[in-house]
Amino acid sequence: MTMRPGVRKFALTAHVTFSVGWLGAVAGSMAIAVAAVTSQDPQIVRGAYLTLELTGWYALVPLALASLLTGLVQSLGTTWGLFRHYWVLFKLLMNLFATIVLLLYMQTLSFLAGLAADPAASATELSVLRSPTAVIHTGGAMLLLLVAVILSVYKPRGMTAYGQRKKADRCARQHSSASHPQLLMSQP
Amino acid sequence: MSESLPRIGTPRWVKVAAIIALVVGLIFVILLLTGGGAGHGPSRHAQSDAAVAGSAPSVSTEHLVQQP
Repeated sequence: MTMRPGVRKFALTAHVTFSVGWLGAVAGSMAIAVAAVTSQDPQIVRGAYLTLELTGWYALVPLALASLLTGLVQSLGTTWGLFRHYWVLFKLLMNLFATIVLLLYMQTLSFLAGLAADPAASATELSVLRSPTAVIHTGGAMLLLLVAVILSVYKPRGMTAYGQRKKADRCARQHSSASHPQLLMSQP
Repeated sequence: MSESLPRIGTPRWVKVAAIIALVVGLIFVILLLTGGGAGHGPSRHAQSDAAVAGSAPSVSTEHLVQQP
């Protein structure tokens, strides 16, 4: 089903907003994660993980899910389709991968934030907060999202076998209806 | 007819991207299986919070008592 132009534009605006918002939230998280790894002040390290957890649950996760959902609507509601063009397929796979890794990492982040919030946690225990996992995860997410932005803007050529088959079918239908208009009239 | 249209091959950028994705995926799987990254690799996600807590350096009770 193809969306009407007004609806399509609204869906596209929503998808771009959520996706770029996700990228922005990742950039902010990366800055906080770097501060957590490099700062010598234990209070900054503790505060960084508390902020990362809040940013994760209330910005990253909702934006990731919204980006995935609006992306599905956008591709299924337009002629681009979901599996017809390689760039759309790549974006779907990258979005799914990033969202799954984010949801898995949020469990680790919640544990680390709990540790950071514990006033009884010793300096030895807090040393686990200085691991670079948050920087690695945010860096990887940023790379994936930047590639997704590049794919969206450049839309590199290339149709999948399924896309080519669908296009051939459509061409054949159009050709058939153009040479035999009476067939169309008799269609239910 | 669909057979009359020539089939276009896979573009080069798709092949290059697929190879990169495959290599990254293999590294991910290897880290997952070997528990690489000194306990901070992807294998961490397969553990429960308790197990993650176990990866933190152990602290003796005596040390905790000394904390204010």
